Amino acid sequence: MVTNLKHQHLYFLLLLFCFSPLCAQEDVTALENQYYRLSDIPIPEDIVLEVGGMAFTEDDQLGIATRRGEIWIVDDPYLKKSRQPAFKRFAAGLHEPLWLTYHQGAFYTTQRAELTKITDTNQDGKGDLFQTIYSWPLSGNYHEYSYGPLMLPDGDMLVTLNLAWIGEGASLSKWRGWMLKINEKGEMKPYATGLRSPAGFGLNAEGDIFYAENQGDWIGSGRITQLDEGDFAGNPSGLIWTNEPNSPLQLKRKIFPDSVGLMHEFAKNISSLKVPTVWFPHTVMGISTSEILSIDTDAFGPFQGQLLVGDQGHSKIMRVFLEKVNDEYQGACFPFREGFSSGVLRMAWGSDHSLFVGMTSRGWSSTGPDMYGLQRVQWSGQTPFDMKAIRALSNGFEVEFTQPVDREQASNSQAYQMTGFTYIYHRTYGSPIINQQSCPVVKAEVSEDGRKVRLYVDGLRAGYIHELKVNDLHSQNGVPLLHPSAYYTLNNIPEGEGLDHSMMVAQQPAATENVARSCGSDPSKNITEMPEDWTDGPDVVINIGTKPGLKFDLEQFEVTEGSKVQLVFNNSDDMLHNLLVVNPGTAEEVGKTAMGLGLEGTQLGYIPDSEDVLYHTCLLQPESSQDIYFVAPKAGDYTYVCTFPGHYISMQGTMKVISRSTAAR
Amino acid sequence: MPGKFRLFTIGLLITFACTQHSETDEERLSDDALPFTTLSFSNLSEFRDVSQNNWKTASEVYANREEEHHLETHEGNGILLNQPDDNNQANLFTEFEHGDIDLTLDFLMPKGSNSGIYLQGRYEVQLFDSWLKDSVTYEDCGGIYQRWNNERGFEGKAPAINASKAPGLWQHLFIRFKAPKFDESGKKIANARFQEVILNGKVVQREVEISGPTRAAAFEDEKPVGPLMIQGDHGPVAFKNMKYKTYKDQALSLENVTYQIYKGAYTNTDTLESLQPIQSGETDTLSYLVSKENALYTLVFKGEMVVPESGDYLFSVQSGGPSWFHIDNEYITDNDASNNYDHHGYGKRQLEAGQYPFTLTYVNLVPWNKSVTLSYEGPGIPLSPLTTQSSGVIIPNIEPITIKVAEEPVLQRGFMIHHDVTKTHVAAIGFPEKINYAYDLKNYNLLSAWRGEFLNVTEMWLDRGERQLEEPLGAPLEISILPTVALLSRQNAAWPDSVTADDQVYRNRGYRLTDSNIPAFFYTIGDVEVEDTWQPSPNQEGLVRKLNFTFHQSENEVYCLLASGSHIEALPNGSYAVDDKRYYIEDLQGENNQPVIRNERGRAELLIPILPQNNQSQIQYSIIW
Repeated sequence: MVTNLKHQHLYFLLLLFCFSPLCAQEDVTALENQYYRLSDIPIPEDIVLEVGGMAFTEDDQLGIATRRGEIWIVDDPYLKKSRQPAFKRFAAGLHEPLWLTYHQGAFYTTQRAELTKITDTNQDGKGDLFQTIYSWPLSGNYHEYSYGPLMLPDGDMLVTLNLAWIGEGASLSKWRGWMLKINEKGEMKPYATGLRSPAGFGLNAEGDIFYAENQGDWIGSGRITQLDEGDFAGNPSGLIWTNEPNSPLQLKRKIFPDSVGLMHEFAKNISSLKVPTVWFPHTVMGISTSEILSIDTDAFGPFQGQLLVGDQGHSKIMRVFLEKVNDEYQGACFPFREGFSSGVLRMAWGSDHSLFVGMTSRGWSSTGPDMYGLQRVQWSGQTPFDMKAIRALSNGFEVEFTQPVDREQASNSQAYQMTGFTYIYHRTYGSPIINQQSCPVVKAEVSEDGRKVRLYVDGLRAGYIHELKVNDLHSQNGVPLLHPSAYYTLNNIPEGEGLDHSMMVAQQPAATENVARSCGSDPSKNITEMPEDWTDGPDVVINIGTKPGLKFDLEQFEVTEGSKVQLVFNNSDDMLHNLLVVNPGTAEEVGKTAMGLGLEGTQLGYIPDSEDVLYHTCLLQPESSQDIYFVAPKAGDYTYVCTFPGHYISMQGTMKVISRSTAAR
Repeated sequence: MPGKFRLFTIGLLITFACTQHSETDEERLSDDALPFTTLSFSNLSEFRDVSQNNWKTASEVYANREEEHHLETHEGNGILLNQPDDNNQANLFTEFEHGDIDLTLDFLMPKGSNSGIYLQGRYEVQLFDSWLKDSVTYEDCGGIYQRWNNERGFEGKAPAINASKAPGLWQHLFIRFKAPKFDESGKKIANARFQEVILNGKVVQREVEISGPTRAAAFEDEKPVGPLMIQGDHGPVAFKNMKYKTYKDQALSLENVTYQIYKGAYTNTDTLESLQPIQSGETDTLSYLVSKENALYTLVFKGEMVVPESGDYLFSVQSGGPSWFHIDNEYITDNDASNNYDHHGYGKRQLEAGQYPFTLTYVNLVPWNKSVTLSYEGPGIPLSPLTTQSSGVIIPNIEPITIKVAEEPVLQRGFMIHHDVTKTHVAAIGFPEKINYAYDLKNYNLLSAWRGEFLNVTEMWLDRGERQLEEPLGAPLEISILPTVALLSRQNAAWPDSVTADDQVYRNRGYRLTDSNIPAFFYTIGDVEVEDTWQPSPNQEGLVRKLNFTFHQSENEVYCLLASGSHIEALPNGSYAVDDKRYYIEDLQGENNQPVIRNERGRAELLIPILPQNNQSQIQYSIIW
């Protein structure tokens, strides 16, 4: 169970990723705000609006379910009548409702134990009839969250059940790890499994079902997956129920070794295994995907028909373009809007096509600093210059832009960098990026209308994620590209012409099979064996663990300058953490730099190459630990911080180094 | 009124200790603790001679809860009781004397009565009929009575909450008392102290120091030991299951303790013997902190244990990894190789006074789970750790999050502990009248009821809420939950124990809120529609339950389970005392439906067949506690 991080080796090419605006987030937020304006909906002070679900009523009021079990109705969410809209309590006493749906005069939600319908039968503005549509057993584990219902056009409802957490995900009671289909009469049909933490799911414009998954055991990174009846989406814990007579699949848990290898290869032999439709590379495209919402209008800008995907930990919303190749969905994800005030869990469309965003960060902190919040995104009417879509071709990609491009810049193949990579499919929590390989863009052809660029790409691999970075591209009107990166999940390569190799310049793919050590770039800052000259051992041993809610269990410790310190960091949490000792006053900056590392971040364990980073552990798996050894620096208040993206805000402590003269007194 | 009293005991009388479960370690199971000494109530021989005749024994008692000082008895033994009159009202003293003591007992207060337990004959925990009082003082049940000087009272401490039950019901009391301490010259160096007083499952006093004897003590002075005194001059009272453990100022001591640390996790002692430790040394305390290893190590303590007095010793190990304990090379206990620090392994051994070698072994598997605690209990020695406090797991203090009830009833769902098991489908309901109950939404029956403040939800709403628990703020009356309604093929068919959530036995179910926000739970079982409503009874004495049934051509007979327990008594006033007088069922109104008491697998059940009239039926009754 204990990960031995001491003997892994460092072999990877440092790729230059950090010229993207990810390194300068505040600028992006300001630019995004020109097109998609963010505003607060003021919450009365006495309401703890930890948003679990949101739904508009037929009267265009906004219903909000909270994690404390209340349902509030906001009368004027558009702030047409007042800058402080009235919140009226419709219901209370529910057990952590994490969804809200409004259908034919009633609210529907899931509590931990059941799917519930709530009706105001006497029209006094308060729910008075609470009907249990369907109830399920619970083991009592805190991680058994329940989500839904998503109302389907035929009136059937979809519900998903989160796995328990017992050091790994586990299905301790029936249908945990499943999506269930339930009708109004309470008849239930298990629909699909392989789910781990399915907080978000929705329909695209065609009415197909997609669910969002978070990194974890068996899940190398965040992703969305299209689900049909009988599908298995990857985490095998829920398979223990496939012996049940109503299970739509017979796949068994026991065929899964602890480390499978590559998911898309394994899927070739397992018909029910559904590979992810679109991967969201961890920490680059969020860390915890949440709601999925389809853009069914052109009144929200140029992205009609695409999906929005929220992210709780990174307080942002991303965008997905989908297409079908070989009759299966695949596509690309793009940054869309960041800078929300708390963890983005839910989204809902207002009747004016503005987007309402409901947030919570209790227990899982977010880059947005507030404990909860309610915000609104409105399209300004201006079209951003952005990549609108990426379509796979037999020998490359077609990139569609929202506006005509600068022809000269866009036809230069050097403006495009493409890298293929994937994740390991294994029982371990998360995955390093593996099999990373650059894919030379050998030619770029701009379409007649200037809105599309056809990229001829060498080295495409089916089953791999393909990162596209665009350098210094402007629109025909001279506006720089708002978001220059995108990630296309190339499950299938369309049939057709291959690459004409006469086009290839003298450029060879820089193939780099690498093993990520996830431990920074300077081994001298990560001494994990006691130095041999410490013949009397360390002067002091400091034990630091983690607490739920992204905290260290030790807020402060004191050492004398020049003393030999053994620091033991125990990651007892259910997510990845590291520990960096940084120069006084630099934790914020180092934390932000770590967030901007991009794909490289995974390989470096989110440990930036910075003079302010003095000593650090590697990025540690849940339930593992590492000892590091260092000599205490000169007196001062140093910070120790976890720089896993989003954690630095709350996960900090102080190492007080006292001078020898003080210590002697 | 001698002779007129009749006790209707219907069903099997099962000798069963009080079924209430406390929330602390007061009554660990018999394997998990050395036995208490039981005060025999077969006669009064355990007590000092009393010249007056107010104290006697009985086999059964009955106190009409509505009649002042009423207490009727059935000749026999097993119960100690006091029935004072003008000439007979002596206090009762035990033959034994005590210093530090754990005392546990059940008591039954007649209406308006008053008594008290005086530790060492000097320091009183008040017993009083404080039922339904909104606010409580030192004079109320569970209070530490005032001291008295110069016509003036001082000190004294009110119980934290009013945890009292109705007159005529058995109530449970646990007292952990520390006697005053004196130096060799006889000078007092530490005050007497009530470490913990638990009334009906709720801690009502914690760490209360008293500077001297309380009012009406039998002795003015303070001494290391004294007899237990039960007050007899203020009214009738009955006791049963009175048990104690007394403690002396002695302890096991450790000598020549060494430790050895081995790299790696070894659960085989023979393997360990063959290995070289990576670190070893002498130590004066037992704590995992002697090891600087991070994980995957085995820590062995060896030393000698000086046993002060011959007798039974009970050892307990608990740790965040496998641990085991040997004395004199003989296995005593292990923790079942658990990684859960809350899991105890117990082992008992008879030891003669003297010196014994011991070995404590602890295997650390995971770094965040470092903890090992070895505790013991012995003759005259309370449960005490041999390891240091920092070697265990320390629980932090948290400011609680509570839900208060204002003008309207409040409902909150969550998990709730019931008879030590976490129930996951629970609705807790609090009324402005300060009556609260919890309802099980799997079996559609009452889970527990309590008076006073409503709910602590800290474990749901703080951080991730890892236990998702809602906890009653008052003393809970835990009811044995069986489904309320069943369709039986015949009257003597077995009552179903439970219904699992995914059986979907109940259909068309949920609850509706009345205009005044009172929940009415409803469901359909078979083809019978049931509606179940609970409201505070007048005067806050308990809860009134109304069950409405609507029939649609039922083929089975429909029965309703009003109560179950070790036994159920029909009382002279037409009400029932359930589960050895834990609560009353009163005012049963069932139209033409007649209740029956039956026995099933050692369990008494009060059933009522539901006979429809025009496809309707209604049952109503009160639960009083």
